[in-house]
Amino acid sequence: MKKFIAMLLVASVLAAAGCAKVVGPYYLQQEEYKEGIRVMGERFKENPDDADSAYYTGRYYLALNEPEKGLSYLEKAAELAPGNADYVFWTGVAYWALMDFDRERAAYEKAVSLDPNHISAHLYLGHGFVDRGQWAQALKEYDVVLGLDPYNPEALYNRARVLGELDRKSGEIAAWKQFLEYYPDGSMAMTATEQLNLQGDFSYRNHIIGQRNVTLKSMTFKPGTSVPDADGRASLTVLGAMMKANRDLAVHIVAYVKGNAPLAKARAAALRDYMLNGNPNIDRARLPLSWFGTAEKVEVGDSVFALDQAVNFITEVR
Amino acid sequence: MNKRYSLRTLALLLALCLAFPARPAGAGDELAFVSERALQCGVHSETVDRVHAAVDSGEIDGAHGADLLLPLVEACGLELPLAPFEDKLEEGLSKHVRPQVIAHALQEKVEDYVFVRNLLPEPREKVDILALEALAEGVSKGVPREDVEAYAAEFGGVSVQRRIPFLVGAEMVSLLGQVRFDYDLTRTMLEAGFASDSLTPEWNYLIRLVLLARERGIKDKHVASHAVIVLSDRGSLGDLYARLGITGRSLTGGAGSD
Repeated sequence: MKKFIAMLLVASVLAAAGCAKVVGPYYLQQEEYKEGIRVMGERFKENPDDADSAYYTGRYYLALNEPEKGLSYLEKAAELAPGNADYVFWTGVAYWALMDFDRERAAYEKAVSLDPNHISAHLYLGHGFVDRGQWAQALKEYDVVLGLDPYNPEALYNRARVLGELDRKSGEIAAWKQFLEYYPDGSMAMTATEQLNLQGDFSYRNHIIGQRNVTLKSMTFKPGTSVPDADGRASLTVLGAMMKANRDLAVHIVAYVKGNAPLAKARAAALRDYMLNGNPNIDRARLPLSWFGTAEKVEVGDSVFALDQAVNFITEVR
Repeated sequence: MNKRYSLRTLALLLALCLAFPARPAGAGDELAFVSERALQCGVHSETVDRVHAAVDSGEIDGAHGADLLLPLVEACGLELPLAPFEDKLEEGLSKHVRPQVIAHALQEKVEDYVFVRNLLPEPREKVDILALEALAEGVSKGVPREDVEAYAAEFGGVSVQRRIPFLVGAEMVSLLGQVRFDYDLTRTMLEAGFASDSLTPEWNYLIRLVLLARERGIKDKHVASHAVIVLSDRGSLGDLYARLGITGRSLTGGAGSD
């Protein structure tokens, strides 16, 4: 509390001193949008030529889900400082919120003309092209974004989607894998995995473990052996952590090797041993095994895929 | 209007009536008297000055000026947050709305706030002002009162321990209700969000997704069913955009589509 009051005091002193560039981001970071409007809005009234005050007031209104009010301030800021790409960019976001998509695009294009490396403007230009079904243009924008910010999750995800729309299958598969390599958790990862599986690639799979949907990198082994590859071992670590957190959770390890049931059995056992070694507190009975000398049949959408070598994890809730 | 509100209002009006005979008659005096009461009670001087400026400029007369401030005095007496009333008054004067219309709107707003406050968990001094504002503003903008009642009845119990999720839920009820999103659908999302503790502030912006989805012909039911999946999985609003094949924008500058 003392820290908060001290920060507020500093912000007030800075506001009084007129440091809009310092105070403005403070209210955004603290999500104190209404207080920001009070302080910066007042400051803008007193200094109608202060672009920063107008800009931040507009940003606060936008964050409060009031784009109409926000736009009027952001436009004022852009008018007062016509060379500022950020100000122009944020008018674009306000136009999007008002569902004026032509003006949105025009704003981003202007922002990019002012600052060719404006990542957010390129990203949202790409999004706009996706929404219009202009896939090639979208891809171009996402490539620019990833050139500037290789880990940008939205660009990585949407680039994969766009490649799919352009029917560039191998590129699409590689792009989904790239996204999943950087962002293997969460709902977007699940959707990415579904898309990957639809292309017949099962290097990642979604599993229901307990109450949660989890994306896991699929288990692979040294050829003809039961020695798991390093990549898949990370999935076992995830499973182990979940079993530690939920003591009622049991995970059935089901291995398939077409035409080689003994190898399937050895693989299932090897995975269990690996997990038990890493998690000595987990009871062996919580990791039951099954093995089959056949391919695993996996249904994805309207298609059925046969996986000659696979491992599936099935939850048993006790 | 409920019983408690009626009694409080009557008490306030009685106090005002008793005070009136002791002062000289006349519209200017009435405005001066109500202004003084407003300032004493905590209405910002800028708001009172704004009304006086409108009177001085001839835009409205003194009696109307008093009428505009009276609901604020009443709100103050009822210990309601004053900022929404001050903002409404300012907005009305800026847009040159007739003072009778502004006063009526302010009076209705007082009733909406009292209605919502009585739904929120006691004690009154601990009522979350932000949740009150979110829901009451929703009611004043057309959200069915029964939706707000249902939300408070079912989820109000969590408001003390889980302030942020309750507040986010209140925003969702308010904003979605204003665009006639079926409360039964909203409820399914809230249920999933509370159960998974996934109602983070970014879900305040769900309304943008709903409006975009409608424009693209995606049914509310479809949006709600996917939102339930995402919320149950503790996913983000960006995840929901992705599932629906829509691109989002961040209104805060944060990552994703908040």
